[in-house]
Amino acid sequence: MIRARVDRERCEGYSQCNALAPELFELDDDGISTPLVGDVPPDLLDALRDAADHCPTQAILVLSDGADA
Amino acid sequence: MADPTTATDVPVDSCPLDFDHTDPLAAQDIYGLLSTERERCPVLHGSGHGGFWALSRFADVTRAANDHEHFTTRQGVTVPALGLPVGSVPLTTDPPEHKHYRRALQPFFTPTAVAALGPAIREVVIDRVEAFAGRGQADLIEEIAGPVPCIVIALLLGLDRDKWTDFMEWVDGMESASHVGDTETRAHYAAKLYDFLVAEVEQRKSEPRDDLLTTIAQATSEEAEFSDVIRYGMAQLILVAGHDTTVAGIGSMLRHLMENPDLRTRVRSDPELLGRAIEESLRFESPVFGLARTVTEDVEVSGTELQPGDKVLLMYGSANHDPRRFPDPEVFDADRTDRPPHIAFGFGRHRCIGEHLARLEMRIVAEELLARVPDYRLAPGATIEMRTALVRGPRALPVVWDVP
Ligand code: HEM
Ligand code: SF4
Repeated sequence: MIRARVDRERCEGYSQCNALAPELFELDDDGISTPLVGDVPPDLLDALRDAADHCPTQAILVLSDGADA
Repeated sequence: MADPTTATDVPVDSCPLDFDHTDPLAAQDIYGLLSTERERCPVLHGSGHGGFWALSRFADVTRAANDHEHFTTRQGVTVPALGLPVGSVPLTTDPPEHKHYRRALQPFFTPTAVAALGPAIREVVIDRVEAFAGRGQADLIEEIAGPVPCIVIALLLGLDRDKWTDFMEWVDGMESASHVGDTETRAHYAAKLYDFLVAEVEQRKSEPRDDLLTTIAQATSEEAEFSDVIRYGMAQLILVAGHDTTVAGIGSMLRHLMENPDLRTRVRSDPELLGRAIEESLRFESPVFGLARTVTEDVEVSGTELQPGDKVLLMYGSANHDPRRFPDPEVFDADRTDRPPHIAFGFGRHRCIGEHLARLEMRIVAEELLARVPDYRLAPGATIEMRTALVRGPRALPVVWDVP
Protein backbone atom coordinates (compact mmCIF):
# COMPACT_ATOMS: atom_id res chain seq x y z
CA MET A 1 0.00 0.00 0.00
CA ILE A 2 1.07 3.56 -0.66
CA ARG A 3 0.70 6.35 1.88
CA ALA A 4 1.40 10.05 1.71
CA ARG A 5 3.03 12.06 4.43
CA VAL A 6 3.57 15.79 4.64
CA ASP A 7 6.67 17.03 6.41
CA ARG A 8 5.16 19.86 8.45
CA GLU A 9 8.55 21.51 8.91
CA ARG A 10 9.08 21.78 5.17
CA CYS A 11 5.55 22.56 4.02
CA GLU A 12 5.11 26.29 3.36
CA GLY A 13 1.43 26.13 2.52
CA TYR A 14 1.36 26.96 -1.21
CA SER A 15 -1.50 24.54 -1.74
CA GLN A 16 -0.03 23.18 -4.95
CA CYS A 17 -0.74 19.68 -3.64
CA ASN A 18 -4.40 20.48 -3.04
CA ALA A 19 -4.66 21.87 -6.56
CA LEU A 20 -3.19 18.73 -8.13
CA ALA A 21 -4.71 16.16 -5.78
CA PRO A 22 -7.73 17.65 -3.97
CA GLU A 23 -8.84 14.18 -2.84
CA LEU A 24 -5.52 13.64 -1.06
CA PHE A 25 -4.43 16.94 0.48
CA GLU A 26 -6.04 19.91 2.15
CA LEU A 27 -4.58 22.85 4.06
CA ASP A 28 -5.44 22.88 7.75
CA ASP A 29 -6.19 26.04 9.71
CA ASP A 30 -2.47 26.67 10.17
CA GLY A 31 -2.12 26.69 6.41
CA ILE A 32 -0.15 23.45 6.42
CA SER A 33 -1.03 20.55 4.17
CA THR A 34 -2.60 17.44 5.70
CA PRO A 35 -3.14 14.11 3.96
CA LEU A 36 -6.83 13.24 3.77
CA VAL A 37 -6.53 9.49 3.35
CA GLY A 38 -4.41 6.69 4.74
CA ASP A 39 -3.83 4.16 1.99
CA VAL A 40 -3.94 5.95 -1.33
CA PRO A 41 -6.36 4.26 -3.75
CA PRO A 42 -4.71 3.09 -6.99
CA ASP A 43 -6.62 5.54 -9.19
CA LEU A 44 -5.13 8.44 -7.23
CA LEU A 45 -1.51 7.33 -7.42
CA ASP A 46 -0.77 9.47 -10.46
CA ALA A 47 -2.25 12.49 -8.73
CA LEU A 48 -0.15 11.73 -5.65
CA ARG A 49 3.06 11.54 -7.66
CA ASP A 50 2.13 14.70 -9.51
CA ALA A 51 1.62 16.53 -6.22
CA ALA A 52 4.83 15.16 -4.68
CA ASP A 53 6.85 16.10 -7.79
CA HIS A 54 5.51 19.62 -7.91
CA CYS A 55 5.48 20.59 -4.26
CA PRO A 56 7.78 23.64 -4.31
CA THR A 57 9.40 22.63 -1.02
CA GLN A 58 9.52 18.85 -1.56
CA ALA A 59 7.47 18.39 1.58
CA ILE A 60 5.46 15.40 0.36
CA LEU A 61 6.79 11.95 1.06
CA VAL A 62 5.43 8.94 -0.77
CA LEU A 63 5.79 5.92 1.47
CA SER A 64 5.32 2.36 0.34
CA ASP A 65 4.36 -0.56 2.51
CA GLY A 66 6.75 -1.32 5.33
CA ALA A 67 8.29 2.15 5.36
CA ASP A 68 7.87 4.00 8.62
CA ALA A 69 4.90 6.27 8.50
CA MET B 1 25.00 23.54 -43.34
CA ALA B 2 26.81 26.03 -45.57
CA ASP B 3 27.95 28.83 -43.36
CA PRO B 4 28.26 28.11 -39.64
CA THR B 5 28.36 31.81 -38.75
CA THR B 6 24.78 32.26 -39.85
CA ALA B 7 23.53 29.09 -38.18
CA THR B 8 21.24 29.69 -35.29
CA ASP B 9 19.97 27.56 -32.45
CA VAL B 10 16.49 28.94 -32.70
CA PRO B 11 14.42 27.32 -35.44
CA VAL B 12 13.46 30.71 -36.83
CA ASP B 13 11.31 29.25 -39.59
CA SER B 14 8.91 27.67 -37.16
CA CYS B 15 8.45 30.94 -35.27
CA PRO B 16 7.71 33.62 -37.82
CA LEU B 17 5.10 35.35 -35.70
CA ASP B 18 5.87 38.56 -33.83
CA PHE B 19 3.63 37.78 -30.89
CA ASP B 20 1.68 40.39 -28.95
CA HIS B 21 -0.97 39.21 -26.51
CA THR B 22 -2.13 42.81 -26.04
CA ASP B 23 -2.95 43.34 -29.72
CA PRO B 24 -6.74 43.87 -29.66
CA LEU B 25 -7.23 41.97 -32.90
CA ALA B 26 -5.14 38.95 -31.94
CA ALA B 27 -6.76 38.94 -28.51
CA GLN B 28 -10.27 38.35 -29.85
CA ASP B 29 -9.25 34.87 -31.01
CA ILE B 30 -6.10 34.30 -28.99
CA TYR B 31 -6.74 30.59 -28.46
CA GLY B 32 -7.32 30.01 -32.16
CA LEU B 33 -3.95 31.61 -32.82
CA LEU B 34 -2.23 29.70 -30.04
CA SER B 35 -3.58 26.32 -31.09
CA THR B 36 -1.39 26.63 -34.18
CA GLU B 37 1.56 28.39 -32.59
CA ARG B 38 1.77 26.04 -29.60
CA GLU B 39 2.50 23.16 -31.99
CA ARG B 40 5.13 24.77 -34.18
CA CYS B 41 6.65 27.28 -31.78
CA PRO B 42 6.43 26.45 -28.06
CA VAL B 43 8.43 29.56 -27.09
CA LEU B 44 7.02 32.55 -28.91
CA HIS B 45 8.80 35.85 -29.25
CA GLY B 46 7.42 39.36 -29.28
CA SER B 47 9.35 42.49 -30.18
CA GLY B 48 6.87 44.80 -28.47
CA HIS B 49 6.98 45.95 -24.82
CA GLY B 50 10.79 45.93 -24.86
CA GLY B 51 11.00 42.37 -26.21
CA PHE B 52 9.82 39.19 -24.48
CA TRP B 53 9.41 35.44 -24.78
CA ALA B 54 6.10 33.69 -24.18
CA LEU B 55 5.72 30.07 -23.06
CA SER B 56 2.69 28.33 -24.54
CA ARG B 57 2.89 24.74 -23.28
CA PHE B 58 1.66 23.41 -19.95
CA ALA B 59 4.91 21.58 -19.12
CA ASP B 60 7.09 24.63 -19.83
CA VAL B 61 4.86 27.06 -17.95
CA THR B 62 4.67 24.88 -14.83
CA ARG B 63 8.39 24.17 -14.90
CA ALA B 64 9.29 27.85 -15.11
CA ALA B 65 6.73 28.77 -12.43
CA ASN B 66 8.34 26.30 -10.07
CA ASP B 67 11.93 27.40 -10.76
CA HIS B 68 12.62 30.68 -8.98
CA GLU B 69 16.35 30.16 -9.37
CA HIS B 70 16.18 30.79 -13.11
CA PHE B 71 12.95 32.79 -13.24
CA THR B 72 12.56 35.57 -10.70
CA THR B 73 9.50 37.72 -9.94
CA ARG B 74 11.62 40.46 -8.38
CA GLN B 75 11.70 42.61 -11.49
CA GLY B 76 7.95 42.68 -11.97
CA VAL B 77 5.43 40.13 -13.19
CA THR B 78 3.74 41.90 -16.07
CA VAL B 79 4.45 42.50 -19.75
CA PRO B 80 4.03 45.42 -20.25
CA ALA B 81 5.04 46.78 -16.84
CA LEU B 82 2.13 48.12 -14.76
CA GLY B 83 3.89 51.04 -13.11
CA LEU B 84 2.52 50.54 -9.59
CA PRO B 85 3.71 52.85 -6.80
CA VAL B 86 5.51 50.09 -4.83
CA GLY B 87 6.46 46.43 -5.28
CA SER B 88 3.65 43.92 -4.79
CA VAL B 89 4.42 41.79 -1.76
CA PRO B 90 4.64 38.76 -1.61
CA LEU B 91 4.37 38.42 -5.39
CA THR B 92 7.52 40.31 -6.34
CA THR B 93 9.67 38.63 -3.70
CA ASP B 94 11.54 35.32 -4.02
CA PRO B 95 12.59 32.72 -1.49
CA PRO B 96 13.74 32.93 1.22
CA GLU B 97 11.78 36.07 2.23
CA HIS B 98 8.70 35.24 0.17
CA LYS B 99 7.35 32.66 2.60
CA HIS B 100 7.45 35.02 5.58
CA TYR B 101 5.34 37.62 3.82
CA ARG B 102 2.96 35.05 2.47
CA ARG B 103 2.62 33.43 5.87
CA ALA B 104 1.54 36.76 7.37
CA LEU B 105 -1.42 36.89 4.97
CA GLN B 106 -2.24 33.18 4.99
CA PRO B 107 -4.60 33.04 8.02
CA PHE B 108 -7.08 35.27 6.16
CA PHE B 109 -7.20 32.99 3.14
CA THR B 110 -7.60 29.48 4.52
CA PRO B 111 -10.78 27.66 3.45
CA THR B 112 -12.20 28.14 6.96
CA ALA B 113 -11.43 31.87 7.13
CA VAL B 114 -12.85 32.43 3.67
CA ALA B 115 -16.01 30.44 4.38
CA ALA B 116 -16.66 32.75 7.33
CA LEU B 117 -17.03 35.64 4.86
CA GLY B 118 -19.71 33.73 2.96
CA PRO B 119 -22.82 35.16 4.66
CA ALA B 120 -21.63 38.77 4.30
CA ILE B 121 -20.76 38.21 0.64
CA ARG B 122 -24.15 36.61 0.01
CA GLU B 123 -25.92 39.58 1.57
CA VAL B 124 -24.04 41.98 -0.71
CA VAL B 125 -24.77 39.86 -3.79
CA ILE B 126 -28.48 39.50 -3.02
CA ASP B 127 -28.76 43.27 -2.55
CA ARG B 128 -27.14 43.88 -5.91
CA VAL B 129 -29.19 41.30 -7.80
CA GLU B 130 -32.49 42.43 -6.30
CA ALA B 131 -31.77 45.97 -7.42
CA PHE B 132 -31.97 44.98 -11.10
CA ALA B 133 -33.82 41.63 -11.26
CA GLY B 134 -37.16 43.28 -11.99
CA ARG B 135 -35.79 45.37 -14.83
CA GLY B 136 -35.56 42.73 -17.54
CA GLN B 137 -32.21 43.99 -18.79
CA ALA B 138 -28.76 44.74 -17.41
CA ASP B 139 -25.09 44.80 -18.14
CA LEU B 140 -24.01 41.99 -15.82
CA ILE B 141 -20.46 43.30 -15.65
CA GLU B 142 -21.54 46.73 -14.52
CA GLU B 143 -24.26 45.50 -12.16
CA ILE B 144 -22.68 42.50 -10.52
CA ALA B 145 -19.31 41.19 -11.76
CA GLY B 146 -17.72 44.63 -11.34
CA PRO B 147 -18.93 45.74 -7.90
CA VAL B 148 -18.87 42.44 -5.97
CA PRO B 149 -15.09 41.77 -5.91
CA CYS B 150 -14.45 45.36 -4.89
CA ILE B 151 -16.88 45.19 -1.99
CA VAL B 152 -15.49 41.82 -0.93
CA ILE B 153 -11.97 43.25 -0.78
CA ALA B 154 -13.26 46.13 1.30
CA LEU B 155 -14.83 43.56 3.65
CA LEU B 156 -11.67 41.48 3.77
CA LEU B 157 -9.31 44.39 4.38
CA GLY B 158 -11.65 45.71 7.05
CA LEU B 159 -12.73 49.03 5.52
CA ASP B 160 -15.69 50.82 7.05
CA ARG B 161 -18.92 50.55 5.12
CA ASP B 162 -19.09 54.31 4.64
CA LYS B 163 -15.70 54.28 2.92
CA TRP B 164 -16.68 51.71 0.31
CA THR B 165 -18.13 54.23 -2.08
CA ASP B 166 -14.90 56.25 -2.32
CA PHE B 167 -12.92 53.08 -2.56
CA MET B 168 -15.15 51.77 -5.35
CA GLU B 169 -15.06 55.04 -7.22
CA TRP B 170 -11.25 55.01 -7.30
CA VAL B 171 -11.00 51.35 -8.23
CA ASP B 172 -13.59 51.87 -10.98
CA GLY B 173 -11.84 55.01 -12.17
CA MET B 174 -8.55 53.18 -12.33
CA GLU B 175 -10.13 50.31 -14.16
CA SER B 176 -12.08 52.21 -16.77
CA ALA B 177 -9.01 54.35 -17.49
CA SER B 178 -6.87 51.28 -18.03
CA HIS B 179 -9.50 49.79 -20.37
CA VAL B 180 -9.12 52.71 -22.73
CA GLY B 181 -5.36 53.02 -22.24
CA ASP B 182 -5.59 56.41 -20.48
CA THR B 183 -2.45 56.13 -18.34
CA GLU B 184 -2.73 59.62 -16.90
CA THR B 185 -6.20 59.10 -15.43
CA ARG B 186 -5.19 55.64 -14.30
CA ALA B 187 -2.20 57.09 -12.43
CA HIS B 188 -4.46 59.74 -10.89
CA TYR B 189 -6.81 57.15 -9.38
CA ALA B 190 -3.97 54.77 -8.52
CA ALA B 191 -2.34 57.56 -6.49
CA LYS B 192 -5.62 58.31 -4.68
CA LEU B 193 -6.06 54.66 -3.82
CA TYR B 194 -2.50 54.33 -2.72
CA ASP B 195 -2.74 57.36 -0.42
CA PHE B 196 -5.95 55.94 0.98
CA LEU B 197 -4.41 52.55 1.70
CA VAL B 198 -1.34 54.15 3.29
CA ALA B 199 -3.59 56.18 5.60
CA GLU B 200 -5.59 53.06 6.54
CA VAL B 201 -2.42 51.10 7.30
CA GLU B 202 -1.01 53.96 9.37
CA GLN B 203 -4.26 54.21 11.32
CA ARG B 204 -4.15 50.47 12.14
CA LYS B 205 -0.70 50.92 13.67
CA SER B 206 -2.13 52.98 16.50
CA GLU B 207 -5.68 51.60 16.50
CA PRO B 208 -5.51 47.89 15.84
CA ARG B 209 -8.68 46.06 14.83
CA ASP B 210 -9.52 42.51 13.97
CA ASP B 211 -8.92 42.76 10.22
CA LEU B 212 -6.44 42.07 7.43
CA LEU B 213 -5.21 45.68 7.31
CA THR B 214 -4.20 45.45 10.97
CA THR B 215 -2.23 42.29 10.23
CA ILE B 216 -0.56 44.08 7.33
CA ALA B 217 0.17 47.08 9.59
CA GLN B 218 1.55 45.07 12.50
CA ALA B 219 3.08 41.86 11.18
CA THR B 220 6.68 41.22 12.16
CA SER B 221 9.16 38.46 11.51
CA GLU B 222 12.69 37.69 12.64
CA GLU B 223 13.60 36.52 9.18
CA ALA B 224 12.17 39.15 6.86
CA GLU B 225 11.99 42.90 6.96
CA PHE B 226 8.54 44.45 7.38
CA SER B 227 9.17 48.04 6.32
CA ASP B 228 6.40 50.51 5.54
CA VAL B 229 7.02 50.07 1.83
CA ILE B 230 6.52 46.33 2.25
CA ARG B 231 3.29 46.92 4.19
CA TYR B 232 1.88 49.28 1.55
CA GLY B 233 2.94 46.80 -1.12
CA MET B 234 0.91 44.09 0.57
CA ALA B 235 -2.23 46.22 0.77
CA GLN B 236 -1.75 47.25 -2.85
CA LEU B 237 -1.33 43.65 -4.02
CA ILE B 238 -4.52 42.43 -2.34
CA LEU B 239 -6.41 45.06 -4.25
CA VAL B 240 -4.65 44.63 -7.59
CA ALA B 241 -4.61 40.82 -7.53
CA GLY B 242 -8.06 40.35 -6.05
CA HIS B 243 -10.15 42.80 -7.99
CA ASP B 244 -9.87 42.77 -11.81
CA THR B 245 -9.10 39.07 -11.83
CA THR B 246 -12.31 38.20 -10.04
CA VAL B 247 -14.37 40.62 -12.13
CA ALA B 248 -13.16 38.74 -15.20
CA GLY B 249 -13.69 35.35 -13.54
CA ILE B 250 -17.31 36.14 -12.67
CA GLY B 251 -17.92 37.78 -16.07
CA SER B 252 -16.66 34.80 -18.06
CA MET B 253 -18.57 32.35 -15.88
CA LEU B 254 -21.83 34.26 -16.43
CA ARG B 255 -21.09 34.30 -20.13
CA HIS B 256 -20.49 30.55 -20.34
CA LEU B 257 -23.65 29.84 -18.36
CA MET B 258 -25.55 32.03 -20.82
CA GLU B 259 -24.08 30.23 -23.80
CA ASN B 260 -24.91 26.82 -22.29
CA PRO B 261 -28.53 27.19 -21.15
CA ASP B 262 -28.97 23.49 -20.46
CA LEU B 263 -25.97 23.51 -18.14
CA ARG B 264 -27.30 26.68 -16.53
CA THR B 265 -30.57 24.98 -15.68
CA ARG B 266 -28.85 21.94 -14.25
CA VAL B 267 -26.33 23.81 -12.04
CA ARG B 268 -29.22 25.33 -10.10
CA SER B 269 -29.97 22.00 -8.48
CA ASP B 270 -26.50 20.45 -8.64
CA PRO B 271 -23.84 22.24 -6.54
CA GLU B 272 -21.14 19.84 -7.67
CA LEU B 273 -21.87 20.55 -11.32
CA LEU B 274 -21.73 24.27 -10.56
CA GLY B 275 -18.27 23.64 -9.10
CA ARG B 276 -17.20 21.97 -12.35
CA ALA B 277 -18.71 24.79 -14.40
CA ILE B 278 -16.67 27.29 -12.37
CA GLU B 279 -13.46 25.30 -12.91
CA GLU B 280 -14.15 24.81 -16.61
CA SER B 281 -14.78 28.52 -17.02
CA LEU B 282 -11.49 29.33 -15.25
CA ARG B 283 -9.69 26.87 -17.52
CA PHE B 284 -11.38 27.87 -20.76
CA GLU B 285 -11.13 31.64 -20.27
CA SER B 286 -8.44 32.09 -17.65
CA PRO B 287 -8.83 35.56 -16.12
CA VAL B 288 -5.08 35.96 -15.75
CA PHE B 289 -3.86 35.22 -19.25
CA GLY B 290 -0.22 35.26 -18.26
CA LEU B 291 2.31 36.69 -15.84
CA ALA B 292 5.97 37.32 -16.37
CA ARG B 293 9.30 36.39 -14.90
CA THR B 294 12.84 37.67 -15.55
CA VAL B 295 15.57 35.18 -16.41
CA THR B 296 18.48 35.21 -13.94
CA GLU B 297 20.79 32.55 -15.44
CA ASP B 298 21.13 30.93 -18.87
CA VAL B 299 18.36 28.40 -19.27
CA GLU B 300 16.86 26.40 -22.11
CA VAL B 301 13.13 26.01 -22.65
CA SER B 302 11.87 23.65 -25.38
CA GLY B 303 14.95 24.26 -27.53
CA THR B 304 15.15 28.02 -27.03
CA GLU B 305 18.08 29.49 -25.12
CA LEU B 306 17.03 32.24 -22.72
CA GLN B 307 19.51 34.72 -21.28
CA PRO B 308 19.76 36.70 -18.05
CA GLY B 309 17.55 39.76 -18.21
CA ASP B 310 15.10 38.24 -20.72
CA LYS B 311 11.43 38.73 -19.92
CA VAL B 312 9.31 35.58 -20.13
CA LEU B 313 5.54 35.53 -20.13
CA LEU B 314 4.12 32.36 -18.54
CA MET B 315 0.88 32.03 -20.47
CA TYR B 316 -1.35 30.27 -17.95
CA GLY B 317 -4.26 30.63 -20.38
CA SER B 318 -2.35 28.90 -23.14
CA ALA B 319 -1.19 26.13 -20.80
CA ASN B 320 -4.86 25.58 -19.95
CA HIS B 321 -5.56 24.95 -23.66
CA ASP B 322 -2.60 22.61 -24.22
CA PRO B 323 -3.95 19.37 -25.73
CA ARG B 324 -1.04 17.49 -24.13
CA ARG B 325 -2.79 18.07 -20.82
CA PHE B 326 -6.44 18.73 -21.71
CA PRO B 327 -8.06 16.56 -24.40
CA ASP B 328 -10.32 18.64 -26.69
CA PRO B 329 -9.13 21.85 -25.07
CA GLU B 330 -11.16 24.14 -27.32
CA VAL B 331 -14.45 22.63 -26.16
CA PHE B 332 -16.13 24.13 -23.09
CA ASP B 333 -17.48 21.06 -21.31
CA ALA B 334 -18.41 21.19 -17.64
CA ASP B 335 -19.77 17.64 -17.77
CA ARG B 336 -16.34 16.11 -18.30
CA THR B 337 -15.26 14.61 -15.02
CA ASP B 338 -11.81 13.74 -16.37
CA ARG B 339 -10.48 17.28 -16.77
CA PRO B 340 -7.22 17.51 -14.83
CA PRO B 341 -6.73 20.58 -12.62
CA HIS B 342 -6.08 23.82 -14.52
CA ILE B 343 -3.51 26.45 -13.59
CA ALA B 344 -5.66 29.58 -13.83
CA PHE B 345 -4.47 30.38 -10.29
CA GLY B 346 -0.83 29.93 -11.23
CA PHE B 347 1.60 27.25 -10.13
CA GLY B 348 4.19 26.84 -7.39
CA ARG B 349 5.10 29.26 -4.64
CA HIS B 350 3.20 32.23 -5.99
CA ARG B 351 0.01 30.28 -6.59
CA CYS B 352 -2.95 32.46 -5.88
CA ILE B 353 -3.52 32.90 -2.17
CA GLY B 354 -7.06 34.13 -2.92
CA GLU B 355 -8.29 31.08 -4.85
CA HIS B 356 -10.86 29.98 -2.27
CA LEU B 357 -12.22 33.48 -2.01
CA ALA B 358 -12.45 33.86 -5.78
CA ARG B 359 -14.28 30.53 -6.13
CA LEU B 360 -16.66 31.45 -3.33
CA GLU B 361 -17.53 34.77 -4.97
CA MET B 362 -18.13 33.05 -8.29
CA ARG B 363 -20.37 30.45 -6.69
CA ILE B 364 -22.45 32.92 -4.69
CA VAL B 365 -22.97 35.17 -7.70
CA ALA B 366 -24.10 32.22 -9.83
CA GLU B 367 -26.45 30.90 -7.15
CA GLU B 368 -28.11 34.18 -6.28
CA LEU B 369 -28.34 35.50 -9.83
CA LEU B 370 -29.81 32.26 -11.22
CA ALA B 371 -32.31 32.08 -8.36
CA ARG B 372 -33.76 35.41 -9.51
CA VAL B 373 -32.77 35.68 -13.16
CA PRO B 374 -32.64 32.09 -14.45
CA ASP B 375 -32.87 32.68 -18.20
CA TYR B 376 -30.92 35.76 -19.28
CA ARG B 377 -29.74 35.98 -22.90
CA LEU B 378 -27.50 38.30 -24.86
CA ALA B 379 -29.27 41.58 -25.70
CA PRO B 380 -30.45 41.72 -29.34
CA GLY B 381 -27.68 42.98 -31.61
CA ALA B 382 -25.03 42.87 -28.89
CA THR B 383 -21.67 41.13 -29.29
CA ILE B 384 -19.18 40.25 -26.59
CA GLU B 385 -15.88 42.06 -26.70
CA MET B 386 -12.98 40.76 -24.65
CA ARG B 387 -10.65 42.85 -22.54
CA THR B 388 -7.11 42.21 -23.65
CA ALA B 389 -3.68 42.18 -22.07
CA LEU B 390 -3.11 41.03 -18.53
CA VAL B 391 -6.65 40.21 -17.52
CA ARG B 392 -9.07 38.62 -19.97
CA GLY B 393 -12.81 38.79 -19.54
CA PRO B 394 -15.85 40.33 -21.22
CA ARG B 395 -15.80 44.13 -21.18
CA ALA B 396 -19.58 44.17 -20.93
CA LEU B 397 -22.32 41.54 -20.80
CA PRO B 398 -25.55 43.25 -21.91
CA VAL B 399 -28.39 40.79 -21.37
CA VAL B 400 -32.18 40.70 -21.32
CA TRP B 401 -34.70 38.36 -19.68
CA ASP B 402 -38.45 38.00 -19.32
CA VAL B 403 -39.96 39.65 -16.28
CA PRO B 404 -43.21 38.09 -15.08
C1 HEM C 1 -10.63 34.45 -10.41
C2 HEM C 1 -9.87 35.26 -9.67
C3 HEM C 1 -8.38 35.16 -9.54
C4 HEM C 1 -7.46 34.66 -10.42
C5 HEM C 1 -7.69 34.04 -11.79
C6 HEM C 1 -6.15 34.82 -9.80
C7 HEM C 1 -4.96 34.42 -10.40
C8 HEM C 1 -3.72 34.49 -9.80
C9 HEM C 1 -2.50 34.01 -10.38
C10 HEM C 1 -2.38 33.38 -11.77
C11 HEM C 1 -1.50 34.22 -9.49
C12 HEM C 1 -0.03 33.83 -9.68
C13 HEM C 1 0.85 35.00 -9.91
C14 HEM C 1 2.14 34.64 -10.63
O1 HEM C 1 2.35 33.49 -11.03
O2 HEM C 1 2.97 35.55 -10.85
C15 HEM C 1 -2.08 34.87 -8.33
C16 HEM C 1 -1.38 35.28 -7.20
C17 HEM C 1 -1.94 35.97 -6.17
N1 HEM C 1 -3.30 36.26 -5.99
FE1 HEM C 1 -4.81 35.72 -7.21
N2 HEM C 1 -6.30 35.41 -8.59
C18 HEM C 1 -7.65 35.63 -8.37
C19 HEM C 1 -8.23 36.18 -7.24
C20 HEM C 1 -7.53 36.64 -6.14
C21 HEM C 1 -8.14 37.21 -4.95
C22 HEM C 1 -9.65 37.34 -4.72
C23 HEM C 1 -7.11 37.59 -4.14
C24 HEM C 1 -7.14 38.28 -2.79
C25 HEM C 1 -8.11 38.97 -2.33
C26 HEM C 1 -5.86 37.24 -4.81
C27 HEM C 1 -4.60 37.46 -4.29
C28 HEM C 1 -3.42 36.98 -4.83
C29 HEM C 1 -2.11 37.18 -4.23
C30 HEM C 1 -1.81 37.92 -2.93
C31 HEM C 1 -1.18 36.55 -5.06
C32 HEM C 1 0.33 36.47 -4.87
C33 HEM C 1 0.70 35.24 -4.10
C34 HEM C 1 2.20 35.09 -3.89
O3 HEM C 1 3.00 35.79 -4.50
O4 HEM C 1 2.59 34.22 -3.09
N3 HEM C 1 -6.16 36.66 -6.01
N4 HEM C 1 -3.44 35.00 -8.54
S1 SF4 D 1 2.50 21.85 -2.21
FE1 SF4 D 1 4.04 21.38 -0.66
S2 SF4 D 1 4.41 23.32 0.36
FE2 SF4 D 1 2.52 23.53 -0.77
S3 SF4 D 1 0.92 23.03 0.70
FE3 SF4 D 1 1.37 21.18 -0.41
S4 SF4 D 1 2.92 20.19 0.84
FE4 SF4 D 1 2.84 22.28 1.54
